[in-house]
Amino acid sequence: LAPYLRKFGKFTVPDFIGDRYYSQTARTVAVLWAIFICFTYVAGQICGVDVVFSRFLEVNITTGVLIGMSVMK
Amino acid sequence: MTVDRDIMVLTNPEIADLPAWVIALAAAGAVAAALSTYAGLLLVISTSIFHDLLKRNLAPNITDRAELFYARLAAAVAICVAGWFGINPPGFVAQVVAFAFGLGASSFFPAIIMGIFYKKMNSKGAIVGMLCGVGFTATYIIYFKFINPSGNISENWWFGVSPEGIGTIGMWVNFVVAFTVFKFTADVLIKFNNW
Repeated sequence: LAPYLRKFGKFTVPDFIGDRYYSQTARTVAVLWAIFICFTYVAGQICGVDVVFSRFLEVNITTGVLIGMSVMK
Repeated sequence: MTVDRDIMVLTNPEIADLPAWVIALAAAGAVAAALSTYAGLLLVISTSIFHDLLKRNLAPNITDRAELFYARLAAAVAICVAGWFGINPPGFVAQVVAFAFGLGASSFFPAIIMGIFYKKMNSKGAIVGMLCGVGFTATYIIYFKFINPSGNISENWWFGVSPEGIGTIGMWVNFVVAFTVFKFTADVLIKFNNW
């Protein structure tokens, strides 16, 4: 799909959907779903990070999450 | 240490009695993969919030300085929310990632495919399709993961599809709803005929 999107000149999904369908509503819906999906995905990733930290630094999961968050910041 | 499926994946090299440097490499790989994805996603979240939502809809005349401030604020809030999810995870790592991909398949995939290959598709079809696709998928996942976790067995699943795989069905829901709405509201807007 990438060549088609590049031809269109839009690089984010909400931009493509908003401009292709000429609709602010479509763009807003796409943005909201994008944020929702990203949060789901981030939750999975941060679980992975804190499992590794809690295993190798021998702390509990909550501390692992806090370490992961401070690494990101 | 509690043993669960995530720990099993991580400790596989140890169980196999591989040398310490292999174990370390595997762990470093896991952290690197997770953190890079994490950074990218946080960037997407904060950009979506301040650029697409704030600047385009709520406050079009916002200054660059204020925009930067809100971007940082959005990233900080996103990290905190993500941390809350990390402490109270909705499932195992692979499961949560599967949910995210299922939601993605049921929302954007049909809208992008129809936007590119079916030039007559209109905005109402795409909007209602996205709403119904994600609505269906998210309801199915939330029902089986949070509202009725004890009923999460294969006898109760629709068509025998687990919550991890329901995005496939959500995708078809999206396609069918979009086409139905399109048939009733066909206002043809063709501008991008020659791209």
